[in-house]
Formats: sequence, structure tokens, C-alpha cells
Amino acid sequence: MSASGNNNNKNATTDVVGEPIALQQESISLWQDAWIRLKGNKVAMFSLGTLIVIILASIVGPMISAFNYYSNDLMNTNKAPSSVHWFGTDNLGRDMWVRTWMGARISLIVGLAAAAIDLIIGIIYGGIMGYFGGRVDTIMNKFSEILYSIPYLLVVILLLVVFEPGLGTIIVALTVTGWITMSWIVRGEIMQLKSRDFVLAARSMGASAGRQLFKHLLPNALGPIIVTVTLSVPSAIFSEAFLSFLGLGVQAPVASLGSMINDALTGWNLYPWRMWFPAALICLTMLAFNLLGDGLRDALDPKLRK
Amino acid sequence: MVRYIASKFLYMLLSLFILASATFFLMKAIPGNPFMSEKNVQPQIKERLMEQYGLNKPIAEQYLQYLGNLVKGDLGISMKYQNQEVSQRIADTFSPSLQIGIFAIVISIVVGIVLGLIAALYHRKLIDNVAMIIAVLGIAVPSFVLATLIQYIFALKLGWFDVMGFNEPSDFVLPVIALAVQPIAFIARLTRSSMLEVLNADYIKTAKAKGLNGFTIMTRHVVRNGILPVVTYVGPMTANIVTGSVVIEQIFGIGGIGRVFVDSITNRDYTMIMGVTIFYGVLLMLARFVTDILYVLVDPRIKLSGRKGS
Amino acid sequence: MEKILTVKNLSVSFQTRAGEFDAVKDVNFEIGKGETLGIVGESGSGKSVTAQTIMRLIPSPPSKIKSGEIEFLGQSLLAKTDKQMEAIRGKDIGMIFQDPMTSLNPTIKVGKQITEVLRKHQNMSSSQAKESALEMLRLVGIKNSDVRFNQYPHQFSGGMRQRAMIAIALACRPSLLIADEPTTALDVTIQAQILDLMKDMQQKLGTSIILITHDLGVVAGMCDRVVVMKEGDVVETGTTAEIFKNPQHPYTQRLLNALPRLDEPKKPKLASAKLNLDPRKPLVEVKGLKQHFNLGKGNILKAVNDISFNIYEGETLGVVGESGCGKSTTGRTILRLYEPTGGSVKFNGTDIYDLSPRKMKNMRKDMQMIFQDPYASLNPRFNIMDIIGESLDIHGLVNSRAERKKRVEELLDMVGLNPSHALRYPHEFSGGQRQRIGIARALAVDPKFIICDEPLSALDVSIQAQIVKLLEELQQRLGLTYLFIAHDLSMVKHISDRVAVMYMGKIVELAESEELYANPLHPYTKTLLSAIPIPDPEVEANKRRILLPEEHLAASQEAAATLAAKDPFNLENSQLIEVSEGHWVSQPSA
Repeated sequence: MSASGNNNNKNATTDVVGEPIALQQESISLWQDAWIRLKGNKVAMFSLGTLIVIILASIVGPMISAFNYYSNDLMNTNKAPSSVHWFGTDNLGRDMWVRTWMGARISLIVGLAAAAIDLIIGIIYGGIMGYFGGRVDTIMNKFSEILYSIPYLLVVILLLVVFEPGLGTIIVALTVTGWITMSWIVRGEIMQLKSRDFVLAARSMGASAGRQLFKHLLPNALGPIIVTVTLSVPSAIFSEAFLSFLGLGVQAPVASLGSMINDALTGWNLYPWRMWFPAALICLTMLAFNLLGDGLRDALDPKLRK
Repeated sequence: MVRYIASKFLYMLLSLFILASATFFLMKAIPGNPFMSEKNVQPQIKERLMEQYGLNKPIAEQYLQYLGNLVKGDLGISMKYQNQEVSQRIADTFSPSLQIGIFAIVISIVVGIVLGLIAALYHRKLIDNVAMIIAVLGIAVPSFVLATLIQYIFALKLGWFDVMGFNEPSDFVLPVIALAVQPIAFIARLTRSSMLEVLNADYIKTAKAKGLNGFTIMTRHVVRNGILPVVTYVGPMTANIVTGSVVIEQIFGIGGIGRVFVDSITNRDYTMIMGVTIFYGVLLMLARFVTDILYVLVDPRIKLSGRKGS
Repeated sequence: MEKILTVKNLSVSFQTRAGEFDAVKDVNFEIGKGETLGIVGESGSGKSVTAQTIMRLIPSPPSKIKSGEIEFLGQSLLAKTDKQMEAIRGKDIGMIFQDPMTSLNPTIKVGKQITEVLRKHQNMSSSQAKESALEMLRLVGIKNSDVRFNQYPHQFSGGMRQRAMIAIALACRPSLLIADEPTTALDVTIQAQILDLMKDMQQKLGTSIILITHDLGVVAGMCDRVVVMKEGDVVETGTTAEIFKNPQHPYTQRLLNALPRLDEPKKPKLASAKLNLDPRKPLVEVKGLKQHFNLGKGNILKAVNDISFNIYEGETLGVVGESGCGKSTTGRTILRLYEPTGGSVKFNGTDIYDLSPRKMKNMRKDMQMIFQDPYASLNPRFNIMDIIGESLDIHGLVNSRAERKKRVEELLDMVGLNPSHALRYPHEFSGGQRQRIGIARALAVDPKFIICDEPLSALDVSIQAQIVKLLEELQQRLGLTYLFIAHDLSMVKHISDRVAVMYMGKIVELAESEELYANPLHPYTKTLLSAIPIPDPEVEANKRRILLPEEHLAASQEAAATLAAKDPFNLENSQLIEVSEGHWVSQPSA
């Protein structure tokens, strides 16, 4: 459509060759442009704020309470929320406020660590596939396709059954197949960018492979990569919660939000607060990550830029 | 076409083989032997058990025998319940899982597509926003949280449904909802974005220039192309629902395969874990295989060269 | 003459984020029965909006018809309800669009897409509709229509899809056909066929045609009357003869002057400012160059198939051909952006394929490239300073940031851009300006030889002329040697000293540019030249087109791969023979 876009406003400048153009007063890069559009998205900014609050609370929350997360107090089991125990206590009399934020901390660590490892492996593997193409790509891609076709959670469950359960094991298990999606995103972007003229231009200037990759290819592929990372954090948090729910997650006395929900299942019709606090927090975290991811997708999408 | 299907089938077999082998060697990697934990077993009995499960043979021989049995559909004998065949146990408990699973899949597809279509047609209107808020919530709330929540409200507090058990038709409702909400949300978002893309396509302008009315354009040109991507989601959705059922059956006290799986994990019943894993693996890979074939059938553009354009 | 359509005082605006924007301002024109009216303008002129408003296809909002009247066969179209409009679209007014690749529904068989419109408006049974659709397919020149009827759009080539679109638009014998840039996405030889088809159909069915285009050559050959639009205004209306002979409005005059004409003599070239150039010394020697791509499953695309030529110091060698002929691949292989399958390229006597990576990198300072798409050829994350300065960094040509800045500003000034814009980003510039940035980037390392890979095809005509002028000035000033790749033969004729014509990876003819146009010898060259529309109604009226069967015209790379097997001109066994001094033609070897 030719109608929109050619909107020469009144203070348009004319350059030396007499082509009228509308250069804005301020020069902005694409990153600044994306940030401006993200700032305009209330839902995404609210989600970002929520995430910052949750992350801060998971660091500070346990410190400002007089209790710790592992001490039993069998005199005060299953207490409802009160001024002493803000979120109540669990079946061993442990303070739920501290445990909930400690749980959130574990869940966030799992989510962020798994996403970070996926990112690193995905960029390297996908970068190699995309940059070199040809036979290297065919073989590596087939390998990842086969690996991907094996149901993800089954592999994770098997690994956790076999190896000593714990934080490290879970993170490793989640990344065994988790990096594949990221590598495909990177591969697709690099392949598409590789044939773009600006990369050819760099090659015709004699730019090295490293320069092409790090100056031209990856910075332009970063948008979809950021979105994928943002969306892979909640999916890792969900998987961890799911595994904890099966008793394959972090082991007591350490708790994650998932294992707390699992613990709360026994007798939760009598002590529902033991369920609601961790459940609400996990939903809120996942919701915020998903909405932020959507917002980033819109903000970074070059098609939507005017 | 035949070549395409054959190549997809081969890849499925290859993936299965890898899963089966990985399962086998992982189980062998467990330190000690599976009967060590049971302290009061006498050495002679232990010896006999080892014999019975073939655990004292060389690994290579065990592996070949295991693969051979797999082909025959023999998944071995449970280590916990020594008179029970794994395949028999799976067969016995499959029915409720299958029923709930199929219900959940059908409802996910129908409701998801309808929700997505409505959202796209009323793009940027109130209905669109409401549908998308529901969809985002559906994606953000883990199925087991949703399950406990609706169990609490509709069974415990309101008393509309049984809290536990799986005996009458109404017992389907809550587990199916708990399983279907996430796939519904995914499908609705997928349908919506692909519909919006189709609505802006040039060939829709052509259809309008032909003088077709809105309804015909919708049914003949928009919807068909708009829901194509949903087909690709059938495979992942099945995986989602199958794994989801593992906890859902636990929460609603349904004696399906998911329950067997959880029990076997708790009891460290290794042959059972292996058996159910393989069974799930076959199921999910079949779903992917069907998806691949479906996609070729509905989209004439896919070149039947054995590769899907990405 | 009986009036079919009258547009009176039409104004259309769009609601954008920046406020209301007038796309069409107070436009008036009319069209008579059996007449062809051309609406001409560059991008953003409002010509497409006008056409779609007649069909009432513009979504509202964001668009708004602010005022005006559209009268079609005595009825007001703007007063019609949506339902009434449906009965007119497709039946009384047919429309075809620019891009045949996306205008057909990919999941419905072509035949059904034609019968659909017949069944909607003519109340036909499905067998009658099929009969009629098959007739229509034959009429638009699609062979094997009964097989084609049951195929999907992706099994059609671009030209055939546009034929199918015409079949759809004309199936109900409408009184008016609106063609919105119907040949812009097609190669020039296919364009010639589609335009002939439209004329032919008009004669058979008596349809009036509104032809929207940016190409004055197309207008000259097709239209009875012309409306010239600029930024939403009609600047001039008149018969085609009047407009071309005696344009009144300065914009029309500028448009016509900007246009290079194939039948005009070439202007003499300015003598180069550099005196040490030797026009008899070959700067680049290409010998037996081959570039084959493996498409998998035993299919090999011979994109460049054993070609040889020299480029002499200070000259411009034009390479022309249609999409998929291998001209761009040739350029890229000469620069060693692709490793060749065979052959050699000598630059100043050195075979560049023998060079080590280090030496090759050094060599790249002497050979640069200007790219086709000014939007895709600049890294959107870099500012202009970094885009132009990158090669300075790579080759270590500057010692300090201040020196770098000075050099970049110098280059910007050289290509006619404001040096104070150096810190801005590509998306803030227009297409023509971006192309200037691309040129500045190529000049940064002070090259001797530049490959211009279709540098004009993404630009409007008036901008094209400016860029050509810039390239010529730079050549004269800096003593550059160009390899100028293009599909637009008129432009190539004027910028090149010699021209090579490529077809399916081979050079079929190479000669001095005047000689080639005056005396084409190879049948493909003749076809190509006769297909080019000349912006002169008299010339167009007397022109005889030499047509090749459509199957011989490669529409895409992959089509070319299968077509290569057929090899209509027996190129596989031909070689370039010098028939007169400097005029080489491909001839079958005995």
C-alpha cells in the first residue's frame, strides 16, 4: 500500500539533491525505537515491574523475617496467616512467608539458569548451522530434529530418576533438549540474514567471519532471540514445578514453588493458604514473563515499525 | 508422497530406537542393583531375582534381548509386583487415560479454533481482548494449579462434581477442563495470528474483487488457510496432554497410566518406568507422524520431497 | 463516446498515527467504452488508492472518502450498500493486481478460483461454470487448460498466474477492467505478452481498461488517454499523444525527461579526468567462468555456465538479462563472494581465485559492489558513519577517529548527502538517499572497479536518473571501471559502453551498446529488445513484437534449472563468435 508512510510533514527538510525527506529532530537507533515502543505498552511495562518486584522480594523477603525456611516448630503447625507468620505455617510449623520467597528464588534460579544455558548452546549450535549451512547444517539439523522428536518431559523424568535429584540435576536435565528451539530460531535468523545484501556487502569489504557474525548477523537476530529467552524462562519454571510435583524436583528441606504446592496437597481443603500463596506466585511469575515476551515481540518486530 | 511418508516413518523408528536405547542404558547406569534397597531380601532370593530379570548376563546380551522383546511388545515384568507384566498393566489402565485424552484433544481443537477465529474477526475489539486475556491466563496457569483450583471450587465448595474417582460421566468434566485449558490457549493464539495474516493477504483482496460476500470469503478463503498452522500443533499438543495427564490423574484419583507412572517413579519400579516411557514415546511419536502426514494433505504447497520448508 | 465511469472531485484520506493524511485530493477523470485510460505516477502518488476506491476495496477505517462522486454506468458507486457492491465487483468491474505470486489463493485449485466468480454472478451449474472457465483459460492463452484447471497456483509460473488472474477478472465479461500495476512484478518479455493479451482481450470483449502503472513505456503502448498523478493530485490529463508530445505540467515534463529511451542515441561520454587510463588494457579478464549450484536430488542449476569477457580500464560494461539468467551470480562470483565451480577471473593480471585469504582481503580494496535493494544492503543497526567507515576499519585505512570522521564526511559530500547526517540510521533515509550511502560505502576504500548490481531497480524513475548521473560523474572524476548489471535495457544502453546479454547462464550476445541496439543478431536479444516498451505512442503503435513461447522464458531460478535441459537455443553447444569488430554472438558450433 502506497498511502501510508509517505507522510511528509511540514518541517520536512530537503537535502542537497532536492529529495524531500522527513528526518526527525532526534536520531534514534532501532534499539531505542524498540525501547520507546515497549515503554508505550502498559501491559508489558507492568509485567516488567511485577517481575522486578518478585525478583527483589525473593532476595529480600526471607531476610526481613525472624524465621528461617528449614526450622520446624511442631507447636505451631498449619497456622493461618497472622501478624507473626505473615503467610501462615506449614505442616511442620515452618514459616510460609520465608518458604514462599525461598521457593520463588529456587524457581527463578532454575528458570533463569536453564534459559541462560539454552541460550548459550542454542546460539553456538544454531549459529554454526546457520552460518556454515550446507552439509554441516543438514547433519546437525537432522540430529536436533531427532532429539526434539523424543518427548521432552520423558527424557527429563528419566534423567531425574537415574541421577541424584537436586538443583543442578534439574537445570541440566531441563537443558538436555531445551536448547533445540533456541538453536532453530538462531539458525533461521542467521540463514535469512546471511543472504541479505548488507552481509554480502561486509563480505565484499573483506570482513572476517567473526566480524560478520558478531557485528552483522547476531545483532540483527537478537530480537527473536530475546523473545525466545523471555518465553523459555516461564516454560522452565513450569517444568521444574511439574517435576517437583512428581517428587523429582529439589529435595527437602529446600523447597521450590512446585514442591510447596505438592506438599500442600495433603490436607489443603483444611489449610488452603499453604496452596494459594505459592500457586498465586507461580502463576503471577509465569504470566508476567509471558506478557513481557509478547510485548517484546511487538516492540522488536521490524514489520510493525513505522 | 509415498517417499515422504516412508522417510517420516523411518525417522520415527530411529527416534524410538534412540529413546529405547537411552532408557535402557540410563537404567543400567543406576549405581548398585534395583533390589539393593530392599534390605530384608535374603541373598539367595536376590540371586534368584537377578536370574529372573536376566540381570546377571552381560550388558550387550541384555540389551539385545531387551530390544528383541520390545519388538514383540513385551516390556518385561514389574519389579515391584513380581507377577505382573508391564504391558498387561499398561493395557489394563489405558482406557480411562485414553478417554480423557481424546476428550481433551477434541475440546482443545474445537474451542481453541473458535476462540481464535472470534478474536481475529473482532480484531482490536472488546471480544478480542477478552479472548486473548483468557488465552494468556491459560498459558500462564500450570495445569496442576488449575486442577486443584477447580477441584476446590466446583467439587469441594460447590459440590457439583465428585472430588475424586472416575466412575460416572460427570467425572470427566474437571480433568478434561484441567487438561484442555493450556492447549486451548495455545491454539486460540495460533489461530488468531494466522487468521490476521490471512485476512491481509493479497488473495483475499482478489476474493473481494470477485464480489464474493463476506461469509463465502470467510469460509472458503480465510478459515481454511487460517487454521492450517493449527495442524502443526497437533503433535506438541498431544505431548502436552499426555504429560499433563500424569499429574491430573494423581489429583483426581483416576486409575490411568499416569497414575501407574507416578507410582512406579515413587517405588523406583524400573521396568515399569521403562515400559511406560516407551509406551508414551510410541504414542507421542505416532502423533507427530500423523501430524506430518496431515499437513501434507491439507497444504498443497508442501513439496513432497521429504522436507518441510521452514 | 459512451461514458463507462466518471470520477468527480474524489478525495480520500487516511488516518495515521501522525494524523490525517490526504492520499487522493480532488481527483477527476472519466473513461469511455472500449477505451484504455492510464493512471501514471510514482510511489505515493495515490494511483492505487484511487483504483481501489472505485472498487470500494479500501478498508474504512483507516481510510475515509471525504468527498466526491464515482458514477459507473449511470449509477453512483459510493451510494451503494456493501451488498449491492458485491453484485458489481467481479461482474461489471474486474480487477487484477500487481503480484501474481500472492494474488491467488494457494490452497484452492486454479480452475475453482475461476468457476467461483462465474457461479457467484452467472448462476451457472458447476458443469457450465467449468466449461466456461476452461474456455476462459484457453482465451488467456493457457495451454492444456483441462490439466491446468486442476492444478494449484504454485504449479504455475508468474506469467501464467497473471493470465489466470486475467481469466478470473474477465470471466463475467465486465464492462471495466482495473489493472493495478499488472506487469510490474514480471520480466520484460513476460510483460510484453501480458500486455498483448490485455489488448487482445479488450478487442474481443470490448472491455474498458484502467491501467495503473509507473511505467510510461507501458502507457505509450497501451493507453488512449492518460492521467498523471503526483502526491494525490492529478497534475495533467490528456490523450496519450498530447501528453507525450507536448506535456504541460513541469512534473510530467520531468518524468518524461528522466526516462532513458531505448531508441534514442547515446550521449557521448565525458572524458575521464584521470589521464593514465588505457582503454585497451583489460582490467578484469573473465575466462570460462562457471557457477553451478546443487539443488539436491541430482538437479544442478548452472547459474553461470562457461562465460568469458574482458572489462577494459575506465569502461562500463553492461550485463542485461531477465531474472534467473545468472547476471547477479556472475557479479558476485567475479568478486569471489561465491567460490566458482570453474574458470578464472584475472584482476590487473592476477588470478583472484589463486589468492590466499590475506591477499584476497587486500585485493578487495580495489573491487567493490553497489547493491540492488537500498533497504536490505545497509545494516539497520549501524549508523551511517559506521556503515561507511567499516571498510576503513577492516583495511586499517585510518589512524584515528577524527580522521575516520573526516573521511566519511568527505564521502557523504561526494555522493551529495549532508555530512551532518552521519550519525543517523538507515531507516531515517529515503530509498534514493540510501543508495547514495551504498555508493559512498563502496567508494570508501578508493576502488578501481565497482560492480553495480541492479542499483536502480528499486527506485522511482526520477530518482533513477539522479543516481545514474551521480555514477557517471564519479566514474569521470575518479576513473572508475563499472560492471553494470540490470534488467532495464533502456537504462543500460545509456550508461554502458558495451553490453552483454545473458540468458540461462550464458552470454548470447556482446557488442558496443549502439551496435547491439541497432543491429541485434541473436533471436533472444531481438525478443528482449522488442519487448521493451518505448515511451512514445507513435513508436509503440508501429512496433512489431518478436515473441518467444512462454515456456522459453525462465521465470525463476528453479524453472531455469528445468528449462536448461530443454535449451531452446542450443546454447550448450554454442560459442561466442566475433561476427564483426567487437560484436560477438552465440552460434552453434558446427
